[in-house]
Amino acid sequence: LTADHSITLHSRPARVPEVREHLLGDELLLHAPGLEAAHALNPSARAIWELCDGRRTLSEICDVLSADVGRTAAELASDVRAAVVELARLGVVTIA
Amino acid sequence: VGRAAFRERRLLFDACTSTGAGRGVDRRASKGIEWHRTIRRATALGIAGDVLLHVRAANGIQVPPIVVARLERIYYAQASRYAALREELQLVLGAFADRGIPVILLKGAYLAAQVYANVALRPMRDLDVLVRAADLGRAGDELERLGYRPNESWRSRQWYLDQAFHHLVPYASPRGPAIVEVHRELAPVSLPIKLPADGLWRRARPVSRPLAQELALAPDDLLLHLAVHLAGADGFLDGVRVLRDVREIVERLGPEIEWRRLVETASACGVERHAYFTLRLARRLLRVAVPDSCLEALERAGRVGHAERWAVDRFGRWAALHPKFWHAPIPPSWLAGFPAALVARRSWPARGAAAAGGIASWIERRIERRRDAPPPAPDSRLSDQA
Repeated sequence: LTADHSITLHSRPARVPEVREHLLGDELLLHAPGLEAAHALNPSARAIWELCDGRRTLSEICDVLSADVGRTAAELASDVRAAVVELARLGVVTIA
Repeated sequence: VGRAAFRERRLLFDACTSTGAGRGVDRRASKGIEWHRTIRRATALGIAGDVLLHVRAANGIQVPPIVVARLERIYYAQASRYAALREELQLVLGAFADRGIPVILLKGAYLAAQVYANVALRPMRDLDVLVRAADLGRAGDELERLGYRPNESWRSRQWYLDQAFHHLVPYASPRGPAIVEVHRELAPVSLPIKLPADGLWRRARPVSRPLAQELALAPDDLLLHLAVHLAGADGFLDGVRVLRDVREIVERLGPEIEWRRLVETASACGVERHAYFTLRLARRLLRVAVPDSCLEALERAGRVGHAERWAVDRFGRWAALHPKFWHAPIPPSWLAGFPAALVARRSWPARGAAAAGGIASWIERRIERRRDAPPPAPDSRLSDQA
């Protein structure tokens, strides 16, 4: 798990490769083999998850999303960071 | 009570026709609904996910939060179960592929991921696969090598072989609740019906997102398989689950369905009546776009009479929302016997039609006097659907 404070706008979150994705309409179900729990992402969290490719920084993820949602990257930053922190806490994202 | 029950039934049918259409439950339709009873029925029928999406799409309707929360729990539990079963399926399919055992995915194992756009809308109990008869032994051995154990709580493994049952003894996973049923035939052995395996394998096709080298039935064979189960094995009970599958198949795979071939195969296998009534009910109850030409051809091929049509329309509407394992106002053996009366018409057209109509109207009168009764515990021995 990654500590909350270590995630900054320069962090590069990456999806854990073993995690399987299953469509739930607009939502996405994440399931890691061997784990009891599965996690459902709402459309906003799903959009963030899909941009966590290990290459983009958190700041760049905010830039991409800002074009889609009509808010500035600065306005999105705290929500996106909170989402990435949660994904890391769930063990479906690693931070580089 | 009657009016509320009517509205509840209507809401369930609406939920199954509105998914993805953006139409939610409306104010008039939700008035007086006993939500917990409705959820209980929807869960038993496997359509709780559709009800959740229907409720979520409601505009300005005050659905009690506890209702939404309960539906969400069921919805995400179904999705989570699917994810776990999918892991098992991948393991099994990989092992079969390594041993060179061709496999066709059946029922939920194919429909949930490949046809439905939402895996929570297609609950699964078992993983059903079809292998060639010659590969049955190797498939069973391979499952045991993976740690699966035969579940002999109903009958022994040998019994399934001695009876030439349509599938091997169910195999239970050591890692969780997954049960794998390896079929050699599509039609249950209890029915005097055979869907020849050679044709099924010839028409089978690769799945779009494979886990290994698995195949899927051609869409027309998929519809016939559902029809045989609905009108034959299940006596139209639990029907909305199957009709919901029919709707999804027709909507998603519509252009790929060869309706003419469906009629030809149904006629060749003697299941034109099953196909006709299943597709007719799907069109009437869930507004599925079944072509007129297909229904007319099946009606002609099956020599369907007015009494039968009337009987199945009335009975099918009730049975579609009656879960298989719930209390029935008449013994289940009578319900199972009902489609048999339809099949009998092949040999005795006049008497068969009269019998079907008579049985149906008698059932209908009983149903009208019926009041909701609490469901008994599910009987695991009868779990033959996924």
